[in-house]
Amino acid sequence: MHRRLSVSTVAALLLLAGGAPATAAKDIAASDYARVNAALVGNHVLPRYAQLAAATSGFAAQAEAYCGNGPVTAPANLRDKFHDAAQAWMAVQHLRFGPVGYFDRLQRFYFWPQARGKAARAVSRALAGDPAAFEPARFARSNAAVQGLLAAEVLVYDDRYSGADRKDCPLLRAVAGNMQRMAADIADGWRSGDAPFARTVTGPGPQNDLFADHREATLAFFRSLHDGLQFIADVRVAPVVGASPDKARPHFAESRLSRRSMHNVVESLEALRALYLGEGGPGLGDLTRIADPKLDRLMRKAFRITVKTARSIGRPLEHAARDPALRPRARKLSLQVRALRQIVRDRLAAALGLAVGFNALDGD
Amino acid sequence: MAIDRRASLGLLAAGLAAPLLPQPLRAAPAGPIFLSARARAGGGYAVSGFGGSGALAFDLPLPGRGHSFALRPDNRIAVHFSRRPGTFALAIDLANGTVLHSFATPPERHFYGHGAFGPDGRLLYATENDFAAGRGVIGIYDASAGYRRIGEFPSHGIGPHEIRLLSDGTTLAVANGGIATRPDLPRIKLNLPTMDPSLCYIDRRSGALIQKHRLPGRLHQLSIRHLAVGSGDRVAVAMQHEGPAGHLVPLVAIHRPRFGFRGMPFDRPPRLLTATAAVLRAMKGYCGSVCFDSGGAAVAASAPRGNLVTFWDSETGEYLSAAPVFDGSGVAPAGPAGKFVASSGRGGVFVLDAHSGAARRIAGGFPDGRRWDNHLVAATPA
Repeated sequence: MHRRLSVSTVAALLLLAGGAPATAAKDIAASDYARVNAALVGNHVLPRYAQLAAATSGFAAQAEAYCGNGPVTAPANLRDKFHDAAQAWMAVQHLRFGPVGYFDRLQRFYFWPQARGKAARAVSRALAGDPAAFEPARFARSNAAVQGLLAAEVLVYDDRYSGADRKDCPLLRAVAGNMQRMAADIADGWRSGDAPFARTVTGPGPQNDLFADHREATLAFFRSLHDGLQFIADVRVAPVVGASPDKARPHFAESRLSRRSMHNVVESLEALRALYLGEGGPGLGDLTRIADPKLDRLMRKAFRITVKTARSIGRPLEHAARDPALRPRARKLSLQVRALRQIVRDRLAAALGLAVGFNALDGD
Repeated sequence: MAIDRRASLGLLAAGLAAPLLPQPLRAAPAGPIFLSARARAGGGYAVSGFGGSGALAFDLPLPGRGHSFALRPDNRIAVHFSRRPGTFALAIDLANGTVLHSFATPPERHFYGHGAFGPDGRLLYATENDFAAGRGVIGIYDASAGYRRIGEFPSHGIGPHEIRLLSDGTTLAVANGGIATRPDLPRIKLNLPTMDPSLCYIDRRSGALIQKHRLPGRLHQLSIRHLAVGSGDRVAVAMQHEGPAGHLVPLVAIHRPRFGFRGMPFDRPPRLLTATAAVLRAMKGYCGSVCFDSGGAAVAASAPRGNLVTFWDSETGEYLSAAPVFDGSGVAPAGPAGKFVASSGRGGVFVLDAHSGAARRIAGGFPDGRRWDNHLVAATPA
């Protein structure tokens, strides 16, 4: 109860900061939705997936270098490339529609929080099992917890692995190759083939299995924004920080081995901000500006202060949650992300003319 | 407390309704009471009952988000369940809207939001999560002992959701949605790559599995979620697709279970209902709830993400029509055959016609402007 009040307080402050809500949204034209969708595909989606393909390719190449016949490379090299791949994933994780959703890739690439605390055991079990299971097609059907980033993190950070004996190489190669293939297939799925998904997003209509009109395609981006904020607030931050110091749960933190939990939050928030502001072209905020300029100013401000809070923490979240000096900032971050999500849900959807009811958004 | 005793939904559906002011509740309502959970404007949740013209019957605040109901066979008492991973339930006297009992799951279980009474109204069966073991169970509560939990049996699957009793009084139909969740990760689906939903028939006396139906392997990410039982024990099934958006899959099925010795000789699978690609596209891969009409011939399956309610012929399996209802999830039978009532998450309830797809708002009553949650249940007290 206390927590809800606090969130409302933050939301209320944000609302005051941005002025009164608009009474009715001005109409956004179909061509406005179309323009923003096309820009987001071209400037946001495609480059970010290209970056994921490049980063996973770099990680796979480094895994080959470590596992090849030459001298054993330092774990630091693998870790650098792992960070690149993890960073690239955090920059696209909010995009959950399209080719990333095919063949369970979302789960196979990153099975978190589903396999929270289970990756190390899954890795040791996989290494103890039949090496034939690392054949790519078979590996792609194995336990999602050993297929992607989670297993990669264990392999490059757990002291039992990436040593001179290279005993982990069959699995490391399988994981890195699997991530590289998935990232390449996702990027290809958007760009090429008989039905590139970019065209599905930019060419809605009666023959389009996903989007009947441009507004529906914008709705997919809106959901990415909303669900991305919800994920940060409810899964990444709140369970770790807890309502009080004795309720902090450091072991719930993400990427503990690689100490990336706060990086992940910052990168995800920046990705969502880029989705809103646009990058090198219009974003969702351009539609807000048409309908409700005051709300757009509020959104920008809310993003600015939230990212600022996140950047001010500078330590892994599991550390900040227990550090008396940093804990207030972690609490503030938790409240600000929730407030931002609340504004997106309660005001932005309506302003953008996007029909999402609460049954549709969060049914059961 | 107020209830309308003059207008029936039948009259409303025929277009004869005049706006009626709420009247003081003096006795149990003559027509059906519609029950639903809702989100309150200022935050928080409630559960409400209203008559066919929209007059308020009762309105109770809830400690958390509610979900659906088990109706005692005489329709005088409804048990309202919290939404997963909630643990509370309320037994409500529909004559006056008072809470007779409130009860909860044991700490190592939570409700999924649905339940069903046995034929004499004494035992209540609720779908629950044994999250430590990652399996679904059916909790058994004794209404004659203040809803004390007296036992449980397996649901024979993961994520049991809606549960209904067949006309024999002993067979429970259970929709095992197949999705594993844990209360410490409330809305995270843990097993999408390996989910294995099923429709199970279970003997409520022994907990024995009578039949288990799975979908074809390519549809293993189609969560079997909601059920309705119609005349002749036709079972209507409404599903939610967890696979990629845009992969058009059937979302409604009809099953006519036949039970021989150990269920084997007459075992036949549910029939997946097909419709044109345009219809499936419009449903957005997601059904919110399902019910039969009063005659049992028509089935309504809501598709809140598509902002419509679809109608199907339960005999032929044909798609009939769809009615537009913004964020419409709750559906319940209205009086006449072919008529339904649907509730909107943006506010309001609507009378729908299964054959024409027409939707007409029941205006001027309590449901207007109130945000109705997933399910709507019609109770007609005996």
